[in-house]
Amino acid sequence: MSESHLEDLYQSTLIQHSKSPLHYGKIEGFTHFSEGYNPLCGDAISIYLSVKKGRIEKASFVSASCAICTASASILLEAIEGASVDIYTSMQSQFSQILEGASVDQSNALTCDILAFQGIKQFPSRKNCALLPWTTLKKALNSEIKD
Amino acid sequence: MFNVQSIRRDFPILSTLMNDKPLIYLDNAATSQKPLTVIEAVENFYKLGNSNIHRGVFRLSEQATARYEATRKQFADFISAENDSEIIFVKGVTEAINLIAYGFSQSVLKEGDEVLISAMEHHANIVPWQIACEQTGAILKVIPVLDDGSLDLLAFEALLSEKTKLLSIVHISNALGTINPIKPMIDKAHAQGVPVLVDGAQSAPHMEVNVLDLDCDFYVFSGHKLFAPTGVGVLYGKEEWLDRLPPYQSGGDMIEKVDFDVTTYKGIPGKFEAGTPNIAGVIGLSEAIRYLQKLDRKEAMAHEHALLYQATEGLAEIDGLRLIGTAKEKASIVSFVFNDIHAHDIGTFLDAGGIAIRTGHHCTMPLLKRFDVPATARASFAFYNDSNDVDCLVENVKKMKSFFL
Repeated sequence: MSESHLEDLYQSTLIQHSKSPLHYGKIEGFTHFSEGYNPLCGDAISIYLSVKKGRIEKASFVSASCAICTASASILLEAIEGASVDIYTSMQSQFSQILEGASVDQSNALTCDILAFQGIKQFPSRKNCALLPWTTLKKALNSEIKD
Repeated sequence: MFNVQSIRRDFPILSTLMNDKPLIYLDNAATSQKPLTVIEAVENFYKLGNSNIHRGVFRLSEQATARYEATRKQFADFISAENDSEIIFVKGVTEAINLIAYGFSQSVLKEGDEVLISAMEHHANIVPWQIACEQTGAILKVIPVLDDGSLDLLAFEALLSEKTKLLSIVHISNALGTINPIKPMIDKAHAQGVPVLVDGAQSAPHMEVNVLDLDCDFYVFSGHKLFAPTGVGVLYGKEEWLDRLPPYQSGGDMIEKVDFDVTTYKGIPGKFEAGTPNIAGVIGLSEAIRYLQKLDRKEAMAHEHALLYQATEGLAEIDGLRLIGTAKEKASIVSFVFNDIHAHDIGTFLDAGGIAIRTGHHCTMPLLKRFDVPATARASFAFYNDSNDVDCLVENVKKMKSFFL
């Protein structure tokens, strides 16, 4: 690991997402919600979803988290908003492959920004930072709020 | 004469490279590095002296037992305890506090009693008391922390009452570096008949400890923060208290006589040392104490204080950097947040420069909540750190600004 690895990790895409995250804030009238914590560092994230007829119409998050986690949430929610809830499993398996540094066919990548996480392979202690929004979204999808 | 460059040569890891850079180890509050003498003592025990203790009648076992028990005596002298039997070998501070909390929940605490801790405690001095209180109906009371990271001593005095059954307090905060005024606090607690447990995890490595002078009822610390191996630590307790508390774990070596009808226990210290202990760890601890006793500890403390001053000055002048913990009395621990850069990102950035610091909540989540930060970056110095280490830290923190902002 060196300074060039550092730039692999903190690619400009990732830095951009962390500085100006998409889907940040609490949406009105959400139907699904979950909180996730990283006990290692105390990071916390809340994910809000508005799901109708199996489709994620709106997605947002609020977090106190590092650049990796914030960017991961921003990219994830940008990719998943408007998509069917069924797509989550295939997206997550693709993301797991990217975290392991596997090369992914770009044309298949749900969003090219996801590829910015390839550099994380050199930083095993930071994988959980990238994964926290994903595990929290999964919990949120299973937590429909009843009126 | 304190010669830091010569001392550094005693610690093999300090001359290694990390990420192609000389390792700058600034996570001493989490665990310290080990001098070669300690590493060799452990290695030699396994090569030439390995045997179980207290049971064998053969020479090898007798020798191992003698070394183990000699360390107890050595340790009693090191912290000026009156009796060797007041030294209990444990895994570390976490086990020591759990042992005492269990004992208190069994023999002391009743419904409506109070246990007093502070808002700057490590989770290891919070959670065992929460469990003890839950089991007994006792109530956990917390001394607040002021904005500079010192204890609110007026609140402390107001919280002490006839209901208080124990004050359990950290000597030096691992997250802030604050040195608490333990001696006057112990005096005030004793004046109300309240016993005191001191968490010495951070103070044992940074200062000379005299339990007789402090007059604390319990003093606990971990070997691995004191230049010894992991998995070994010491619980000092006044004889009257150790006699009163029940065994924490039971089994071999802690008994006098076992029968299906009645089992009787050994007296202290054996009552609290069930099973085969970490013999090699104790031997490593013995060597670490020997190493420390060869140092001039007053000079080592002055050196650490100079590093603290240099780091505080260097970091404080960086625009956007906020120090967390600015109490007047501090050990060589510097916690900070920097603009909106998350502590984890700070940690990864500094690691690329070979600098190892700790980032996160430092197992003090309530304390960080008090300061309204989710995490801090923490650099903690030992006597083997030098001013070049501090310079590198400050320079790299400055460089980080152009990278992230």
